[in-house]
Amino acid sequence: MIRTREMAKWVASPQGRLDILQPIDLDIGAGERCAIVGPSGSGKTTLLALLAGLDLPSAGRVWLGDAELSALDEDARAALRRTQVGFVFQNFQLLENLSALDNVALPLELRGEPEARPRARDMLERVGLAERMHHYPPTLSGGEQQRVALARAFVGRPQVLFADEPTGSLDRTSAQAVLELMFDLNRAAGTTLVVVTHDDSLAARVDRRLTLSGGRLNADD
Amino acid sequence: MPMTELTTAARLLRGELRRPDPLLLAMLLAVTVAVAALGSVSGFAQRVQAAIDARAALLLGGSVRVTAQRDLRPLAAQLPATLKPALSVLELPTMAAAGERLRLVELKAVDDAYPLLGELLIRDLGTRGAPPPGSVWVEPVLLDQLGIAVGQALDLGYARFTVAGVIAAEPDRVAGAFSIGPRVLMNLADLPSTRLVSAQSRLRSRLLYAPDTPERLATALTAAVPDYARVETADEGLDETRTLTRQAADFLRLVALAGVVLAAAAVVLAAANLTDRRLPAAATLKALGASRRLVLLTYVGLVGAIALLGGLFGALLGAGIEHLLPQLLAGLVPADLPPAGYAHLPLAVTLAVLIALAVSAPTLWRLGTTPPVVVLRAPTEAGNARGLARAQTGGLTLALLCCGAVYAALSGSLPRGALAVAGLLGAGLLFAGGAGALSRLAGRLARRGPFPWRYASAAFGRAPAHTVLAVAALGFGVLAVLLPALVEADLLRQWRLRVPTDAPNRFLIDVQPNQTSAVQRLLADGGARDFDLRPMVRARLLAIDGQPPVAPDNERARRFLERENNLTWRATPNPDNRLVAGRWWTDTPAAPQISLEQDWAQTLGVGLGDTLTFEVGGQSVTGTVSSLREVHWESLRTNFFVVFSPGALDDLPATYVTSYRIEPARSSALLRDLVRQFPNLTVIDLDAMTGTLQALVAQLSRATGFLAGFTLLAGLAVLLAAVLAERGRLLTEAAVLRTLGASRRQLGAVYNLRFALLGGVAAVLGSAVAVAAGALVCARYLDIPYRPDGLTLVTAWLLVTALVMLAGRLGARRVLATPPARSLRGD
Repeated sequence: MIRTREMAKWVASPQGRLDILQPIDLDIGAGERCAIVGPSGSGKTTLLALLAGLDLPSAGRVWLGDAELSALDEDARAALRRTQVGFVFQNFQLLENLSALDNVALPLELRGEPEARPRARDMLERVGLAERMHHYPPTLSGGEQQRVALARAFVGRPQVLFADEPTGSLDRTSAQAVLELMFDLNRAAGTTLVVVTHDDSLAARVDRRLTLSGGRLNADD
Repeated sequence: MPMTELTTAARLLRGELRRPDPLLLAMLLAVTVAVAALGSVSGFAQRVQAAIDARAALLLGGSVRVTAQRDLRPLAAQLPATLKPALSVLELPTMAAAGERLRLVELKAVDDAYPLLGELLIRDLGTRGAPPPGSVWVEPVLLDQLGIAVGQALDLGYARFTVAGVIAAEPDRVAGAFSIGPRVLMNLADLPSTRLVSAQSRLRSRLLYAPDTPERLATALTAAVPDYARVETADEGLDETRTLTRQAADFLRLVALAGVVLAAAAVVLAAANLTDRRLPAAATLKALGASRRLVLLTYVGLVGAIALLGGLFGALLGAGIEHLLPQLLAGLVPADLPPAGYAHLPLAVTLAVLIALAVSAPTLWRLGTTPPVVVLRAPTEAGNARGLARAQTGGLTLALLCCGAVYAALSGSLPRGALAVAGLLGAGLLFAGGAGALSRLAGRLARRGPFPWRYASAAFGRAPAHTVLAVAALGFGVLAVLLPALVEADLLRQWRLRVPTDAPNRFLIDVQPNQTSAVQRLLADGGARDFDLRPMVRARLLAIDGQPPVAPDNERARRFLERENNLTWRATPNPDNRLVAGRWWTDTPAAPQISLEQDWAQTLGVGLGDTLTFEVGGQSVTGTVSSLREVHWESLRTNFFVVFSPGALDDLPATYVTSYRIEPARSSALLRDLVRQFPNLTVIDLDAMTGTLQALVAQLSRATGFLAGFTLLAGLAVLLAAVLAERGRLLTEAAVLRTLGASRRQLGAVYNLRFALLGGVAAVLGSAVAVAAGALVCARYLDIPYRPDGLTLVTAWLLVTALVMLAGRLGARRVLATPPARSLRGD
């Protein structure tokens, strides 16, 4: 499902080239559930951004499905994300001027699907927020916001879900509930899951752990 | 473009509009005020122009007229139906007799359509038209001169008439123009019985029209009438009011420019900071698969929608003010004048949208090109500040160009637009440089003093790009509000000086050389003031540099050439005039020299060193132009276009003229004394003219003051945008400070000082530039002396600093009331 060859990332700094990711070869199969773990500054988020096509590698190649992300322009990568990818972020990243329902319907509307709002409503019911679908993000609790974000991520039945510290901003109880929900939805849809986390309990529940340190990918656990 | 993108953009846009960011309100206010200001200024200009045209038409007797030094009635009879005049008038000088007494009068014969415009007032009878056949209306002075009363008989030529009434006001008697005697108004039907009209008569005749489209009729008439007849329209206005209205128009353009500068600065500030806040949302949209086009579409739509809304509000507000204008301009604008058209409103709204989008373009582009990875990793503060500064600088630069274009369009002059751009650009650089320097100074002062001062000055002293830009935007605000205020005071002072309340109110003409001492004595004894009997010779311009003047293509020059010019001679220059070129003669030069009024010289293309030859009654006199003068005709004092050196005109027939001021209570007695002793004298009443000029000044002052008030409103929009932009940044910082133990009082003091520094620096820089710009505007465009008022400046400093501090504190109230935890969580 996801493949990289010699994929590396660096940035220019006043002190010279700063390597963020050393060349990485990686294969993640369809339906596989991976956690990217490692200390702060090890390059986890950068790796996630490259795999999801949010950023481009400085060298090497990366594929999502059959498409080579590193050969596409920004709008083509956006089109690919629109149809194949879902996201969950640490800070939820809901659009605060849209209601919960509109936030969830957004990925479907971007694809031009006609039944966007009924499907979004169903999805919000599945995550237990039917009562709050017309509320705006600032009026929802952190746990509720992340559940809206999960509904938004899964509503388009993506082939891959990328999650960046999905429980990082939540208390233990909310985090647990959100995790259960995420894995439930993942199981039901058979989605490939790539999640960046510091959370051991999350990392313990995946098929495969990719450990990064100093921008280098260590052997799989 | 796929429909789905449009509908998604529409949904996102609706979301933004449903819960509008306060910055959008600042943008809305700015656009509203700018469109209302522009609309009102152009509406005002249209009305004043229409008023002046109407007044000029009144004095001409019709908005189009055909004149000739011969009887035009045979010509009128041949004209096609569409060119038939609405009114025919004949004028000729003749003698009026009552018994033994004779008096030269200005006879005017009118048909029954008289008067075409305005009202003829007959004392005790009210509004009247042409007198009934067999009777005449006369000016009161004639009754005194002939020793008769209303109801008695008067002979004109071979016919006898009854004086049926006394003229109180004659609408088309051009005030201030010399006429050789009192007016006698008769019915045109009676003219043949007088047998006064012959081939030798010195008659003038006019055909008058009041068409809907004066220009078109004038063109048709010009093609239809022979060369001896001249077609005139009333679009030139009066000499006396032209300067005032030109200055008022220039000032109003300045006000409009200030309004647009302020609005553009507010839009740039609001748009830049709004898009800064929307960067994460744009990145999220892109991460979810939205294209750059969709993001751009959404936020271009947002700015466009706000500008459209502001434009519509502004147009409505402007239309409302349109209805207020007749009250502001009461008396100046005829009550039945149709309101200025609304045709310019769609254009104003469209322009508002286009300018708002243009000045927001750099910040919108920044939003559209936000990389989606921002959703995972926020850019560094420095990188973000750089991006914001670049976008704002780009926006402000585009704003300046737009302002220049608007100003060029308003003033119809490209160089003026370019000068405005250069001036504003210079001001912008000065603001940025000044803000940087002053903030570094504050940073140096930050090392000592209590905590709030150290913290506030240190924060200001770092001079992050957004602070410098906020100072620049506020500086433009101060400049735009202060400049009209500074210039307005000088303009009003100048206007009041030009039309003093004690201006002369009578003109005395036809004084013979042997009557001057006696007349002077009568004037002094009768209570007249400010009189100065000057000799006057009426002569035609025969040659310029020995050559007959070439037929000019401009109407004004043609008038100067065709009519007789009034010449005088003086030993010393008139103290009211200002020499603008050349030198005044000393003593009596050997060869005649001439001093010319500068506009007269310019109109005829005459300069220093040229020779002019004038002719009167077969005699001619030639002189060399040795100086040019500026004359304030509004002063209504005796002034001449052409002044000769002493001795040059001694051989030519001269009469004496003077203006004087007399209290209304004594004016009749003096008039009676003058005409009894010297029946040849003519006294012209200028009260109506002075009254008109004074009312014009008062009304222009009121209207310009009112419109300048707009800049204050637009200034508030800039203030709002600047404070709202700063507030967002204060939230996190306040939370950190409070977590570390800062009390609300300490934080309050920090914010007071920070906003006071922001306002104070902007006020100092803005007022410095305003003082310099005022000097430029006064010297280059308004042509008035400039004395910036210190009190206005100090008031502006204090007011701006206090306002920014107050607005900042009000804006920061929420910052202080927000629990630190919430701010830190980023809620």
